[in-house]
Amino acid sequence: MLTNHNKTPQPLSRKEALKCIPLQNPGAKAEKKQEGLLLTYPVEIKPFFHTLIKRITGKDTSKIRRKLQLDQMGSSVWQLIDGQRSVRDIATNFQRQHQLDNRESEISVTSFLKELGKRGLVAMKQEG
Amino acid sequence: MSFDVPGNWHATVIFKNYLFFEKNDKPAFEIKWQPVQGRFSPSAILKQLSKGDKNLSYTPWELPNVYTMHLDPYQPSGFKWSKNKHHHGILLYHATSRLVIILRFHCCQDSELPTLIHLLQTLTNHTHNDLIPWAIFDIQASLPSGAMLENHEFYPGKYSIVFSLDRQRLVLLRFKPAAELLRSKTLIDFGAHLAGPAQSVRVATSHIAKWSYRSSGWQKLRAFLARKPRYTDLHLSRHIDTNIILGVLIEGNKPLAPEKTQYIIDNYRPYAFNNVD
Repeated sequence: MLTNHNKTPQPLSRKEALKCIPLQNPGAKAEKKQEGLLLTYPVEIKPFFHTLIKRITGKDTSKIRRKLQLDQMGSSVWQLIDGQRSVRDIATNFQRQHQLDNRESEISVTSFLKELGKRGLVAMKQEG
Repeated sequence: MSFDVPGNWHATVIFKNYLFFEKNDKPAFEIKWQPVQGRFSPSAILKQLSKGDKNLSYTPWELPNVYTMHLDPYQPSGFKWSKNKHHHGILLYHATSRLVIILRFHCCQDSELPTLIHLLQTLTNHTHNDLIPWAIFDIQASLPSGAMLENHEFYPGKYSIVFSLDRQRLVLLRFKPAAELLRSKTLIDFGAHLAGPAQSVRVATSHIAKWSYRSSGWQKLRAFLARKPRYTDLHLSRHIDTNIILGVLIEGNKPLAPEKTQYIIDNYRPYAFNNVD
């Protein structure tokens, strides 16, 4: 049987997305600051630019790191990402910790995780 | 646009002229409004909808009397897109403002008819008014009709809703839980990073903090070259009963009229949930 491996993945439903388990980038380091956690994480550079930068500057781009300062609330979401909890579990925990509305917690946690995903700080593991 | 929805319907998609509601994680209701160019033709709009969604075919549907009796200022026409009789929609044409409102009800059971009727009864078009009421989650505001929604962010503890108004940038901010965020700092300490170059303005109460910045002389040139705003006004207020901090940030090249600014600040407040069904 022929299978099309290039097929774009179907977008997840909201229910499926909430079941996903976020994983922290193992290269990310968190440092406690007064405002919240300061995340330092490696930046992935496309091979073409990697070679170009190396030729021009002689520097190895694999060592380039970026910083992201989280606020108090963002830090508490980051600390809840343990590779075991699903997005829904994190939202529920966050809601209980800060006595927020269910819906508010779910929306804010999911949009925050999406933002961390864009920066390569978290990946999502789909259940099953 | 304003209307009442049941408490278990949640807005999951928000655009400047479109809202999508879910009930128990399933689609419940969609509303979109758009200006009509030329003559209003329901069939042309249905064609346009079918074109946008190639898997579905939108066809006219005769609206029951129970619906039409509540749609007085509008010219209504019904439509459906599935054999399932619980999927149906209504096109409402508002001749005065030359606006069409497209409502789509997803899988509404017969038992939910009173909910739909109440929604239609309370549906109000504010687009031709001078002031537009805005409400989302636990905040409400009344903004001049020229305020156009640009973007919004709902992050843990922080909402920000950005509008453009008279070529200025207006940002409505909301922080929660205030007690926790202000545990070891004052409102002035908390707002300092939001205020940028603006200086704190002395106010009589500790529940309110204000910042203001007006560039002058060479600062104007520097702001112009750096494409930064020439003036900034920030107003923060703490609401102890609802445990939230509300903020209004206005920045641009010319200050907004003081009475307009004050009106926006006075009318941005926590949403009174006793108004909700």
